[in-house]
Amino acid sequence: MKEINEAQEHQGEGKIALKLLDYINGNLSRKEQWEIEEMMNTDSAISDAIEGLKQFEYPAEIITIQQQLNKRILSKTLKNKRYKFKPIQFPLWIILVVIALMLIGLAGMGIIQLLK
Amino acid sequence: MTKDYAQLNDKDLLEHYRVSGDNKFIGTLLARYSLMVFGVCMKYLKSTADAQDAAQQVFEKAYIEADKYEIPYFKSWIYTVARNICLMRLRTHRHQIEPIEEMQEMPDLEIISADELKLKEFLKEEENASLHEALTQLNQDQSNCIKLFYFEKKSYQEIQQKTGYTFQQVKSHIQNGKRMLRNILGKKSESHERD
Repeated sequence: MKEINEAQEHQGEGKIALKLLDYINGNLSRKEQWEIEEMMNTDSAISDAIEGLKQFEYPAEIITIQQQLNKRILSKTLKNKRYKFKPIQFPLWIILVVIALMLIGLAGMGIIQLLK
Repeated sequence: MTKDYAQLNDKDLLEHYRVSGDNKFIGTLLARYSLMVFGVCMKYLKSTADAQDAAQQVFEKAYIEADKYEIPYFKSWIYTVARNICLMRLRTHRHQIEPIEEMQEMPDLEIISADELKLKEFLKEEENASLHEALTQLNQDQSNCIKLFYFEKKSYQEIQQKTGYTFQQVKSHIQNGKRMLRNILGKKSESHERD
């Protein structure tokens, strides 16, 4: 959970996304509040998210939900790396031998057919 | 101990995920946007349980697909994924249907258009006569909300208290008013170019 919290504190592109809860809870300064609202006028993602979160009468519920979501993200994060498909690579000589054997087989079948 | 990757920006986290396939990178990124995704799902689905399920579906999709495509802006991408998943759920449950095509028409969220930048500058010129003239072309509600928000720097909550509008009404008056102003500005610059 600590790593997830660190990610949430990151001050990069996700800065505004991370301020959503503070905005809903009214914990932002007047200036920060205004900045989020100005962003709502141009950024559909932030605008939709705030509209959705505003449906909660008690913002404390949102914190619980966020913790549950992040817990699930963390549990997936702790799992092993995803399996990356690596194609099996055969040496060229094996491929040539297989082709040659197939050709011999086909030729043999042809000869048998002719002799019948 | 602070993990270095938690300090990485969205683009770098995606790149590390693409190269290593290590879930910690995408997990860090998803945690940044988990509340935003949930909020978007809440807006469309109006049910906490459905929104949580949909958000989970968004995260699963991100784990699988984030390294398959070139994603210049993760926030826009995850928002689009969340919105599409919600619309699909609504369609499946035969609730209110909103056309998917709307998604394609939306501008890239990370790139503010030149018109928007012009409008931003325009709104800063409180004393500008043409701004006041343009504001008279808006309806009273839109003009009031824009003046209170941009000139007096009032928050939505303060505007609600002052005018009696709901949060949603303040938001839509400002957004519609801005759209009108953009059109007025556009027409004005077109006529200037012709002259």
